[in-house]
Amino acid sequence: MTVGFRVLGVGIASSIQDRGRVGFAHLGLGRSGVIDQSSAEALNRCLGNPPAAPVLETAGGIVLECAARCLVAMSGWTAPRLVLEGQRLMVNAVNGRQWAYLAVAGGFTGDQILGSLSADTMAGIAPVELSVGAELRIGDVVDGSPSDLIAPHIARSEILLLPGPHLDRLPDDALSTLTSTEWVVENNSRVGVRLTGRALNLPAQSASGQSEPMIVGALQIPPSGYPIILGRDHPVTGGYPVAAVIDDSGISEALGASVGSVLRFQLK
Amino acid sequence: MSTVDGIDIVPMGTHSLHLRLERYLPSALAVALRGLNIDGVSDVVPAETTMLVRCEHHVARESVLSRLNEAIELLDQFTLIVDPSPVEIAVRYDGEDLSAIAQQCGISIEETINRHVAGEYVAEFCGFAPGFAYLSGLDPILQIPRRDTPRTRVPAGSVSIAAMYSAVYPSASPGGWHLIGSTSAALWDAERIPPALIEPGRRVRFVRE
Repeated sequence: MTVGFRVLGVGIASSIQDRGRVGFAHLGLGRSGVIDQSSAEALNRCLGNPPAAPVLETAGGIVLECAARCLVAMSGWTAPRLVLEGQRLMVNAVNGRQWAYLAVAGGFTGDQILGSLSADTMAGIAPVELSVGAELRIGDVVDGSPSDLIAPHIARSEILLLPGPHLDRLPDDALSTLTSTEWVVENNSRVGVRLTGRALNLPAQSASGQSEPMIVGALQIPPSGYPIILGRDHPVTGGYPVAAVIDDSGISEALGASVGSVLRFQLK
Repeated sequence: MSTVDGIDIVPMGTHSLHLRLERYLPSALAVALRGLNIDGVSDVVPAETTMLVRCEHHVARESVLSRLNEAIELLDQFTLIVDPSPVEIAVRYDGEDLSAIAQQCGISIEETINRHVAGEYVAEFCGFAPGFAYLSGLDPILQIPRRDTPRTRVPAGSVSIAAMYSAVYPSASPGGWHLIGSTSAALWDAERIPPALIEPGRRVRFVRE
């Protein structure tokens, strides 16, 4: 375990992320974890890491100084590169994606909280504080098989939806509105993705006022009628009706879409 | 999709299940279902009248559907699966809203405290923040709506009431509940297993300090 990087500038919403914490949702602590798992996996794979190895996640602008020679892979690159002590890296979001990743051979490491290195912005848990001057530790390189190329991100034209549990509290055309509208990403945080497009006409009693258990990828319909996709740091319970839930195949794609980009949904 | 009497089951996402419970307490059924240790069931999350069974694959979902009756049978032996002794929380009745609560309920401060202490509470579910448990059993006289204007910061350990629940804020956060008192108890400790002092299904008593 060695110091791999020093933080020179923190950027926007930067954190270390792995697959998060499993099994604490009933205690009020959600799973958290890497938002765009498919992008992070592609980087880990090309370095010979396990696909779920901890990575650095950012909405852009983080600047690092390399403290030890290591093999790294970053969103937007076509191949991994060797970086040397003293070299600087800036990680930025690219290609219509909101979140960018830096992976390092051996993975990032540190003292886990409840089995994870993930920063959970909802719960206020951050095992690794990313502040200027912070040292990011990296693990020992295991016998993986690095490859020459990083698998590029392939955008899905349509994201598959499954009907949600509260359609009885929503207008009859809720699902058809979701699947016939071009939704624009208005805001994207670790907690959720807010969409604009066509507002669903909510009946007055749509919000039951009751707390219901939530899941990542759920499309909640708040009183405005514009859907919110629940992100990795979503609250474990919520009161707005869920019209649909994104199929596992499309969660990374939807949660990773950059502000201003368009999402189209299709029923699975 | 329902296969069990008194439970309305619908899918939630690719593999998970959303259960509407007409006859069973979500907190109790969640403990019983978790106790079956079904492979691939990663989270069982109770809420007010519903619960989520998060399944990692299709096989787990099928197992939950076929074994739900087993979990229901376990409910009869509930005291064997949940510690029947209450969690005792020592409270200083020094809350910022104590006199306002008394006024709104039309009773004295002393009676407000006595009614809060006398309650036999049960943790129905957690949410809002790690370790924040919604405790049912609040005296009906004390059931008042949330504050019109939430506070931007409620200190950790604040003992509070709102609508039909009492709760303790595990950490400092914004909050709209009425503050009746405070406690030094650690509601959440990530170094402890389990990290939450109060788990859904557990009984709770407040003790005047």
